[in-house]
This record gives sequence, C-alpha cells and structure tokens, in this order.
Amino acid sequence: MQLADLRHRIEDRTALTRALQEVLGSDRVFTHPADLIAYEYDGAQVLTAIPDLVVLPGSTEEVVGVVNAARRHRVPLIPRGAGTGLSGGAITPIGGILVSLARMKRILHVDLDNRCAVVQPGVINLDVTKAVEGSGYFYAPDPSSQSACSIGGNVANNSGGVHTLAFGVTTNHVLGLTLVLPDGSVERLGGRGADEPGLDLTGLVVGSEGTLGIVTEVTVRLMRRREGVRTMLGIFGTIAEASQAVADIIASGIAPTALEMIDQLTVEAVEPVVHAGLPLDAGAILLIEVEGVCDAIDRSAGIVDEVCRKNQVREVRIARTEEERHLYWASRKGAFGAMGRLAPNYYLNDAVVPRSQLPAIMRQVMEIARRHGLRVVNVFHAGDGNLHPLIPYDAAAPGESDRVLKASEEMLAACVAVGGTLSGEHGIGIEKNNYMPWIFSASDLDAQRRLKAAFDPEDLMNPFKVFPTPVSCGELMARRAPRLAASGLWI
Amino acid sequence: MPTDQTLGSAGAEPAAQPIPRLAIPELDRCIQCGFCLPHCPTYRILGMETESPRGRIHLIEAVAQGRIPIDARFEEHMYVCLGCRACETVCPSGVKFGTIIEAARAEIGPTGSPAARRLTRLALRHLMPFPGRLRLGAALLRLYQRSRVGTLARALHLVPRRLAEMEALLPPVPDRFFAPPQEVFPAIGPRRARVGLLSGCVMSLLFADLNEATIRVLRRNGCEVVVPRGQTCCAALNLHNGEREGARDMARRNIDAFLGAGVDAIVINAAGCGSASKEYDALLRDDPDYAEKAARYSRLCRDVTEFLMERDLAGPLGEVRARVTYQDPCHLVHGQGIRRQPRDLLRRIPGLELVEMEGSDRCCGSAGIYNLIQPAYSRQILEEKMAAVKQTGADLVVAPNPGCMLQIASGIRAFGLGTHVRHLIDLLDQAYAAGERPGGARDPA
Amino acid sequence: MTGDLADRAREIVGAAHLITDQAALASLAVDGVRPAVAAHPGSGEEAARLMTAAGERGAAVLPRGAGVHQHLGGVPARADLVIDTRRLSGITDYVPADYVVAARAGTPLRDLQAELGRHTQWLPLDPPGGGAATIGGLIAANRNGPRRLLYGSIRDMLIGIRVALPTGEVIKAGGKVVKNVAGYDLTKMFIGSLGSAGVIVEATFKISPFPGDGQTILVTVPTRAAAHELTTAIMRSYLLPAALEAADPHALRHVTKAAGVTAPDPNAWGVLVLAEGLAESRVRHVDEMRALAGSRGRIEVLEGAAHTALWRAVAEFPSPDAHPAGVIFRAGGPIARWADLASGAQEAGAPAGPVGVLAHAGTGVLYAACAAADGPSVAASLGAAASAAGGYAVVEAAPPALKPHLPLWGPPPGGLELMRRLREKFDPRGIMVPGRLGWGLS
Repeated sequence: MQLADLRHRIEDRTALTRALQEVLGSDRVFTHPADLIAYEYDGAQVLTAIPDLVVLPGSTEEVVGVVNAARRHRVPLIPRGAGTGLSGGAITPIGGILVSLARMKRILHVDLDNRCAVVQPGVINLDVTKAVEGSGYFYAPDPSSQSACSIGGNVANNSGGVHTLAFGVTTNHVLGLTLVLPDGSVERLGGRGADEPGLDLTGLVVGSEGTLGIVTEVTVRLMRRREGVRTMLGIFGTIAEASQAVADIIASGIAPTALEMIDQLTVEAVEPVVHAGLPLDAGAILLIEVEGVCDAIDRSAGIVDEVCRKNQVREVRIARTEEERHLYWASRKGAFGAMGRLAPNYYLNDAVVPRSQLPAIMRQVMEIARRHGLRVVNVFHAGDGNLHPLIPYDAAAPGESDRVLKASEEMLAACVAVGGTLSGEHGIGIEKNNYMPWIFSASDLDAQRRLKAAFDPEDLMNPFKVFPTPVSCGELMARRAPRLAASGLWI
Repeated sequence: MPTDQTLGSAGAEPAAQPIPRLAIPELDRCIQCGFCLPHCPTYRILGMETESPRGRIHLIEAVAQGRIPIDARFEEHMYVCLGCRACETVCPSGVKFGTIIEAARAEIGPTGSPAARRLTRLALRHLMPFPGRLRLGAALLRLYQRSRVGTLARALHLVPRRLAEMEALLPPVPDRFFAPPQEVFPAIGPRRARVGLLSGCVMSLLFADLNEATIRVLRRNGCEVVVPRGQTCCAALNLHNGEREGARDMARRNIDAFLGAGVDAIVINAAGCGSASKEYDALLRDDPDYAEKAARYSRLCRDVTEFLMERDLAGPLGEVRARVTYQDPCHLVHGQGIRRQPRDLLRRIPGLELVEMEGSDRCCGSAGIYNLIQPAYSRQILEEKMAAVKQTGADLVVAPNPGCMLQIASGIRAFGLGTHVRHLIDLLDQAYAAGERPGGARDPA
Repeated sequence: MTGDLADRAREIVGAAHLITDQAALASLAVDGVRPAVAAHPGSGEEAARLMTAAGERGAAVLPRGAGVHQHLGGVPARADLVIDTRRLSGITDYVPADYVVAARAGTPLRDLQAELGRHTQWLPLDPPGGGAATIGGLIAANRNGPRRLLYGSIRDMLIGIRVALPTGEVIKAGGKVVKNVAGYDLTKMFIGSLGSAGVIVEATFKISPFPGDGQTILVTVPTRAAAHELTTAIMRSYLLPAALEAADPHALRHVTKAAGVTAPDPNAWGVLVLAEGLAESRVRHVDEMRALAGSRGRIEVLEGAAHTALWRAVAEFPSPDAHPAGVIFRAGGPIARWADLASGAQEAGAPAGPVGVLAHAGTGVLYAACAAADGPSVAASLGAAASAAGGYAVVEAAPPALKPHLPLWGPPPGGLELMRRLREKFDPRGIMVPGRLGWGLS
C-alpha cells in the first residue's frame, strides 16, 4: 500500500477553511502552499509530509473551536509545539489540520511555596526555569533542546534530559493538564495534590504523543535549586573504562544528578566550536555533576574522583567557574548540532539498555557501524543506559542512506535483544512505529489501542503515529530524497 | 501555481521552475533542529514557522528546487525577516543565515507595492552610492523639517499614515553634515597606527558629531586617522534589499579608496556598516580582479570598540556619572560576534554603572529600513524592548549603531520614558574630555 | 449464575489452590463482605482465565495481595471470587548493576527489600502497611510513605508491569529500563486502580543504593501555625530532608511513644526532619535545623533504634489497626496548604474525641483520624477545606456500616467521563471490584 492512497480526503475544503476562519480570523488559518510547506517537517527532518491546513490558536477556547470544526468535517488533527521532535511526531503523514500551539506561550501562574507553575503548551522549556531561577527554583526536565522545545511537546514525548538520572523525566514533573478531547470537550485532569483518587489520567496522557487530545495547559512541578553544584570531567582512555566508572559511581550511593558520556569523535566535532579545552585523543569523557548542600559537595566530588581513579582515569577536571561549567555543558548539549561539521548529514538513534549492558552494547554498535562502513559518534546519558549513537554520513553518496538505515535498525535490534527499548526520550512517532511489535505482543498493543479508543473513538488525533501502520517511514523519507539528491541536498 | 493538493500528494511534479543558483551550499548546513526559533524576533511575535529562520531556509530551498514559486507570499516571508542574524549566534551548525536570506532577496528584488519597489530601487541605485546626492536629500529634508510645512500637512491629514510613521522615526536633521576639512588627522602623542575611518552615509548626515568624536578618540589612542574622500556608503542597505549588483560596485569603490590610503586598519563606528564590510570578501569572491583585495579589505575592518580593546586603551578617562544599559546592535553581536568589548569599554569609564537588560541581544526592530517597510511588526518588537529598558532603570541606553539609536530614541519618545540614547564613542569622548578637566564630571544627558 | 464458578476455578488453579472453606473465606472478607470462593492462581494466565470464567458468569472479582489495604475504597457491592496473588511470589529478574528489579506481584515488600539489602540497595518506599504488603497491592493501592519527599512515589519507581486483564489477556506495559517512551505509559492505568483494571502479575521497579543510617531532628513547637511557619522555612531553605512531617500533639505522642522517647510537652506540635545520606549532609541538617528552630521551639536529635522506630510509626500513622472503630482520612493539596487541611480536620465543631493529624508537610499529603461518631462532621469540614485549597480528601478507612454515610471519595474529579470509558474498555463486563471505586466507576 502507498501512502498517497491513504491520504485523508477533505470533502469540502472551502467550508472547513471558512469554519476555521470563523474561530481564528483569517490571519491564523493558512492554506497557501508557501505556508503549508514550512510545516512539512519537524526536528526529525528526514520525514516529511505536507498538511492540508495550518492553524495557530491562541487559547483553549480557540482550540475547542478548531477541534469542533475538524470533527464536523472529519479531518485529522495534528498538534505541534516547537517542531523540535526527533521522531516525526508533528508531521502529517496522511494530511489533516496541523494545530500549532506556538502562540500559546504564556506562563499563567507561578506558585513558589507550592512548587508549581501553570503554563501554556507553547512555553519554551527553558523559559519556565528562567521565570523562577531568580527565586532559586527550576523546572527539572532539561532535554538538550531545552532552549527551543516546548512544554507541550515535552508532555507529548515524556521528554527526558541530562539530569534525568536524579530528577526523572517529564511524567514525574507534570501535576495536571487541561486537555481538549477530539469530541471538543475540555477536561481538567489532576492538579489536586499527590495521590489524587481516581485513575491517573495525567500519567496516561504524558507520553501519548498527541494522539489522545490537545493539551492546552500544563501544571508543572518546580524544584528548589540545590545549594551547591560541582561539575566534573573524567577523561578516560577507553569507553570500557568510562563505562565501568559510571557503574561504580552509581553504586557508591552518592546519586549524581548527571552522568553523561561523550566519545572521541564527539570531542573532535565539538571542541573547535566550544573551545572547552577537551583533549582530542581521549577515548571517552564523562561529564559528572553532583549537587546538594555545600557541606557535602566536596565529599561527593571526592568520591567521584576516587572512583574515576580506580578506573584508570587519565585526568579529572573540576569546573572552577560558572563559565567553565557552561563550557563543559556546551560541549555536551551542542554535540548534535555540531554534527553538521563532521558530515553533511547525521542519523540519530535513541535506544535504552539495562545499564550493565552498556559496555557490551557499545562494542556491538561499533561492530555494526564497522560492518556497514560507517562511523558512529556516541553521546549519551550513560547513567540511564540511554544511548544516542549518531551516524554522520553523506546522503549524496550512493547507497549511503540505505546503509545508515540498515545499521540503525541493527543497532536498535541489538538493544532490544538485551532487554532494551525502542526509545528513551525521542518518542515513537512515525519513525519507529513499525518496530513496536519488536517489544510488544499483539495483546499489549491491543491494550494500548483501548486507551486510545477511550479518548479518541473516531481516530482523529494525530493518526498514523505510535502504532504500526501499513506503510513504513521509509516511504515518507523516499518522497523527499530524490528531489533533494538531485540538487545535492540532504535527506 | 500549485494547489495544496498537488503539494500534498507523493511524487508531484515540480510546481515551478527550479532556480539552481539559489541552491547555495549554505542551505545544506541547516539540520532543522529548531534552536533558532525562540531567538527570532518575528517568530516570537507571530509564532509562524514561515516567520522563523528554519522555515525561511526551508522555503528558500523549496523555491530553489522548484517546489513552490516565488510569489507574493514567499516574498512577504522573506521581507518580514529583520535580518538581525540572532539565529546565526545560536545555530549549533553555524548556518550563515544572512547569506541565505540575501541570496533569496536578490532573486526577488526590493519589496513593497510596484511604486514602492521602484522608489526603493531608485534610492538604492541612484542615491546610496553617491554621497553628494545623499547630502542634498538630507538638506532638503532639513528644510522640510524646519519649514513647519510638515506640521501643517500632518494637521490637515495630507500626509499618508505610513509616511507620517516614517517621519516620526527621523530625528531632526542636524545643522551640519560630516564634511571634514582634511583627509588626515594626526595622532595625539606618538603615532602607533594609521587607520581609516569609514564615515558612513547615515552617520555622516545625521551623526556628524559622532564621526568627529570617533576621530578624537582614535587620535587620543595614538592613531593617525585617514578619512578617504573616495569612499562611499558600505552598501549594507543594498544587500539587505536585494540590490546585489549595485552593492558590488560600491564595495569596489570603498576597497580602492581604503587600500589606496595604506592604512593598518579600517575603523567603523556603525555596526551595520562593519558587518557588511567584513563580508566584502564573500560578496566579491567570484570577481577575479577584486577577490584578493576584498579579502584583504575585510581582514582590515574593525568595529571601533573591537579596535580599541585590541590595544591598551589610552587614559586618562574622567568620570561620567550615569546608570547605563547596553543594547547589542544585531550587526555587532550577531553579525560580528562582538559582545564583550563594548561592555568592557563601558566598565572602563569611571562613575558609569552598567546594568544588563533582559534580551539585550534581541533586535530593537530597527534593522536597516525594516521599521520603514514593516512598521507594525517593528512597533511590536520595539514595545517589548522599551519594557526591558524600563525594567533596568537606566538613565542611558548605549547602542553603538545609528539605526538602533534612531529606533530606540523614537521608542523612548513614543513611550514617554525619561531615558536618553548615546553612542558608546560619544560617552568615551566625554570621559576623555572630563579626564582633561580636573573634577570635570558633567551630567551625561 | 455463578453456581459453577468454584468448579471452573478449581479446574484452572487446582483444588489445592482453591478456598471454599467458610472460615477461611471469612478471613478474606472485605468490609464484612465474604467472598463465595477464593483462588490462588499460579500464573498470570491462570489469573486471566479466572477472570474470563468470572466474566462469563457475571461474577464479581476482588484481586487481593496480603490484604493490607483492603480497608480502602467502598464496601464491595458483591464478592464472588477473590483472586489472591500470593502464590505469584519471588524475584524474577535482578541484576544489581542495573538498579532494576522485577518481582511477581505477590512478593511481600519485606522479602524484596531483604534481597535488595544484600546488595546495599532498596526500593525507596516506606508505605503504610509496611513490609507485609505485597508489591502488587502497593501498586493497586498507590501507597506511599514519608520518604517520597526525597525519593518519589511508587508511580515514579514503577517502570514495567505485567497484568492479567479482565478480558482474558496477559499483557505487559513499560519495560525494564529506566527511561522508556515506547508506546503509552499503561503502567499508570494500574496505580491506585484498587484492582479495577486487572490482576497485577509482575512489576519492575527502578531501585536505589541504600542510603544508610539517618537521623531524626525533632522540633517541638507550641501551635499548628508555628509548625507551618517552620515547615515553610525548611522548604524555602537549601536543606534536602528525606522526609518532613508535621504532627499534631496526638500524633506526636503516638510516634514518640513508638520510638521510646520521653514524651514531649503533651500539647506541643512536632516538626520532624529526616536526614539521610552523607555524614556531612546530615550534620548540616542538624546545624541548620538548630538555627531555624531557634527560639521557635525545642530541638532533639534521634538516631539508631529510636530513629528507625519513629519513622516506622510515622509511616503507619494512623494505622487502621490502631483505630479499628475510627475513621481515617487522607487529604492532599498544594504543598504549603497542609495547615489549612489540618485545621479543616480539627475544627469540625465539638468533636466527641481527639482528631489526630499528621502531615507529610513537604508533599502536601495529610492523614487524619477521628472517632467514628465524629466521622461525618470531620469529613464535611475536611472536605470543604480541601476543596477550598484546590485539593481533595478521601476516607481511607471506616467501619463498614458507616461507609455509606461518608463522602468516601469527595467530589468527582476532572475527566470522570474518560475514566468511565477507560473502565469500560478494560472491564467491559464490569466484573472488577464492584462498589469499591468512587463515583460509580466500579
């Protein structure tokens, strides 16, 4: 089956457009090709599809109006935050109305003593922390894209971050939600305190990738900033030594807040940009952060130092200034972006394995890459067992894209084989939905479909995502590739 | 003209002719990560992907491939961009967005109604390259401002609203223009360098005293200052408005004028001019006669703050008592990566207190002639800026670029803030003057 | 209709694992409602088949672990079949280096902790009901203790689950890695479900290194307002206590007595701070608490056995065993509003007996206990205070005869219609825990 055959047909486009304009006015309903084509991609880039219409509602009421119009015309709705997602979750594989929440970006309420804030879905993740850091608070989930990604997108993907190890992921920090259901009703879920009675609908919606409804308000947990922080670099000769140090640091019981690893090739890409003074010949570098009351921070840092030394660390560096600390972090967070400097293209994987499997899986990843004649760059959340093998490549080279996809699939299979999962934080979207049967039985998936059906009986919300579909994401990629290859651009 | 249906279906035929020359290699570098979006002033106010750097790059790519045509909508998205280049500063892949947007505008030409396009083109081609004609125009404007014809016309609603808004941005044209009596000014004290001053078009006409202050400050710092007569406008406005050919001619004239003067550095006191001058190398890369000279020229260019901080700043600096906040001109911070030097200079002035402003490196909405062609968006952006200025409680806003100074000054007038706008060099000049007079601090405003 | 259920159940689990003896069944009664039969399945598949059999006969099913939390929820409308998970016991997957453990649902928490303790690890959960509770029961009842302030709740630790559904399938959700966004997070369907969505068969948790000994810092202050002022100051400080409690005089007497500590001023409120982790950090907590307590109240530091016993008593308070004829409430709301909830519970007008209150002041959860006679008035007053604060209040335990007269669940929550639809999708025949969940959900 081809995707074109499955594309949603809108019977009365004019009436639908008019209905949407009645809700939003004409300047926030877009149908012109130059407007639609800018919404054919998200952060996943390789996957593209053009929406039928794009709308920019500014309030819960306007979202309800959009949903009602869509429902009357039986047209799918695809919510979108900042479009930084990495699994194609915000694209419209079979067309439909793309609902951008980018204009809903107000922080509605901040309550420090109760450690929560109510924000609209388009608020940028980092802006939540910026709004409260002056008072000594922060919003914990901090994906590397936190300067650009939206809270709504974080809720959809249950996003993680570099401090997940200690603070958890988005679902641990969302206290309540306002959800517009595909039938146009508005539900306020959760937000009444810990261990609220009834079913945990908030917990079910977080991570549902926009397939259950449109979130229009989010109550997030705020955390008190820790008094002291120590950021350290452990510079190791090999990935194996660094991996063992990761295991030993966790076992020491000091609970670091971040434990990240970057390999030699990453340093090569990032160092010319960031100038953090990282050695170019180290096999692996650990970025370790410990936080707590000042009295205990030296001791915690001392334990980390000791563990690193036991694992043949070449050198341990401690950030002496805030500026240095930022440089260390810039080396880590800027890694993906800097890939543009290694090769014209990259493909980013996001698998998780049980932590003890890390060294073995790293060897396998390298071996798979070698077999396919590819390089692999490793930047990852070592403390969580969340790998991000990145494959830099050149789409213009004949057959290279296919090899990259094949290798990535093998890497994912290797992770699943040792008890891992398909995605740690980027989501399934339309990128990995056809791998879902690798880890879930038909009954498991059926149970998930029941959840979907309870929220969205008519299947209007973000169709073709999460669950296996009759077409593969390869088809979505192929549609763009020939055109671009012809002009020497990347897929 | 394609319909959205054809766009949506797989394998659709190209809807327009591909434009291979627009498929510039710089487009390749964008990996669509979206990090630029929250830093783009127009995306911040509109929330539209099409009004973000990532979206615009994608549209340009689509036009290059012939997937969509160059039409009014495309043109609008290209010209709503301020060209502030805030996106370049935050781009992890180092995409030179300025190069991309200028290439797209070169395909389109100037924007606006047919009449406005003709007018813009006329001005860019026949006014900007000729200092004499510019001076004449400014003199006429001065006459208009003083004759009170304008007041009467506005009172009788004879001036169209758009024109009236444009007028509000203009400061009174000063009594005199920058017309130095000599080409060379000697260094004060031992000569340590021979530098050329790019006097600039707007700077010469509206800010003559600033050019004079710049010369004084440079001379105090051991520089012999040359103001080559053959120089012309830097061509930044032509570049930003799709007038590439004219810009190349103007660049060649400046290169001849300055390289002929045998200077160690070309000092520029307007951020926009500096940014454009430093990119002459790219502008003339394919000109066999000028490629090498352009590269040499660009290497010599320095913003005045950058130039002063590269060497030991001469003393003595007297006291200037003021609470100041610093607005990063886009073409300084994003275009040239100069963030630290102006602040360091301010901190060197005794008595001056520097208060950082929220979003100081965000565009004020001036952006060349943006405030003239997109007044509504420009005003929204300015509004946010004025709130930030107010928050600082500063007496002075320092912005070392004429466009920003005019825009912020008009914002201050419109919002009734009791703040003043000064160029950094002006403050420095004042500090030097104060340093000469014992106990000579004066009110900077 | 349910006549041959016992026979069918016997076929499924075998005679040895079926309970039909009336005396034995009486001990399984929930709120006095005695089941017709009880079965101990040996696998998830058997549990699923039991539910299929019950479904075919329209028989009501009550899943059960150790029975520690059966006082929660409404009086069962019917009780035909108890599915007891205690045969489904033992750890199934544990690689200490992974900091993840999987165990069958009927495993008592205490057994799990003992095994983890051999590797200096633990599941950082200190729920009411203590170690006897099974992990399946803890999930279904969503039980959390005072240490959730630092370590999180069971919801934060559960990363995977295997469940027998009322419709006859055995499914899994989540996995055995600590970060996982593949598919919907169905684990959330079962936390606090009171067994309505199915029988939990196995659960996987992320676990932590055991923090070692801790210290208790007890500050006694004269009033609730003073206690609130102190807990607020602590929450605004940089201290990172593992638990932070505010206990009214009644609760304070109870927990200090359990710890064998000399009874403080019988009318004083207590603020209890639990410091765990590095010695340097604990010392800092003690020092700063001295400074914070200052002139506000008297400070005492407990360690060793007294410390351990005190926190066990805090987690248990108010234990239904200690208040067999009383009513126990749980209320939650914005963290800093605990004192408003407390005053709601305590200012219900002329009570017949004392109303004991203990608040997890760092997480906004409050427990209150009163005599049965005061149940309705405290329920009304606490309920009103909770609503005013934007929180909730539920009855956790009450004499069965009183339950129908109490607002067990409070006003309906947002999304009730969605909850109904979910119930229907997962339990289309409505056989699970009838009458137990609030607002007619079961």
